[in-house]
Amino acid sequence: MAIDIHLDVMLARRKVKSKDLAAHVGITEQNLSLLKSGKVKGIRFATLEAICEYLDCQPGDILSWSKDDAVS
Amino acid sequence: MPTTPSTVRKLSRWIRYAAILFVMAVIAIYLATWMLPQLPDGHHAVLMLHLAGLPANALSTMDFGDRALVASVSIPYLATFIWAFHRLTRMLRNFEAGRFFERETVSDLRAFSGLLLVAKFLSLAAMHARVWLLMHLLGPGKKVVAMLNLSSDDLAILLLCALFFAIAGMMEEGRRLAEENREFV
Repeated sequence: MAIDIHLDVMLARRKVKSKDLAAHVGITEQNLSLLKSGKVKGIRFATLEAICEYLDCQPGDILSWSKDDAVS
Repeated sequence: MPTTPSTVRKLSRWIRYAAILFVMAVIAIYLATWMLPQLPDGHHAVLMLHLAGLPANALSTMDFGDRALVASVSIPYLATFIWAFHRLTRMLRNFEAGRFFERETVSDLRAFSGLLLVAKFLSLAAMHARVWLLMHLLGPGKKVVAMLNLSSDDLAILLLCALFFAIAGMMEEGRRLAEENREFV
């Protein structure tokens, strides 16, 4: 996909466990795992806000767009 | 997973029971009309049943073969009607379990509304077929070229069934949106 998700990188940088982040955001670990692997159609602003708040980062630290994978 | 509100669950259950009773009553009335067109004399209560399109005493004056022939024109209607209510009870069971926008539930709703519309058409067709049989095959041979017996109630019911079918189509869109929403975290 054209949008890359670097949530696992941010989790490692902040030394935060997926379980703790999922509990803070209010989603299941399974959904967080799907989000990390990019197997979701979208992310709600509320979810993104909660992730950024907990990891103390910007949305751009978690999401990026790459031209190579872009579907024309 | 959100739980189904108890009022919705209770209402769905009662509607399901009422639907089952209604179907059983319709089947019983049809069977009684075919099998016992007139109760023997001497009863305190007299059960008067007659099929739409036929005079009240028409069935009782027919022999078994003619009665079976008249009854057979209602079979497509009854089969469709029973099938429609089978899908309705399945849908209500899903409502009770809180599965409102599942593919199966919406499919049951669409099937029920469509089958109900078809059943109403078949019911009207059966009524006309009964009159035609009575006039041409079993009756005194009166010449009836064409006839159309539709009341405003019949048309209103057809319109309601069609509207219900259209609403069921909108439910399909609701299901698609709910499914899409589930893929967002």
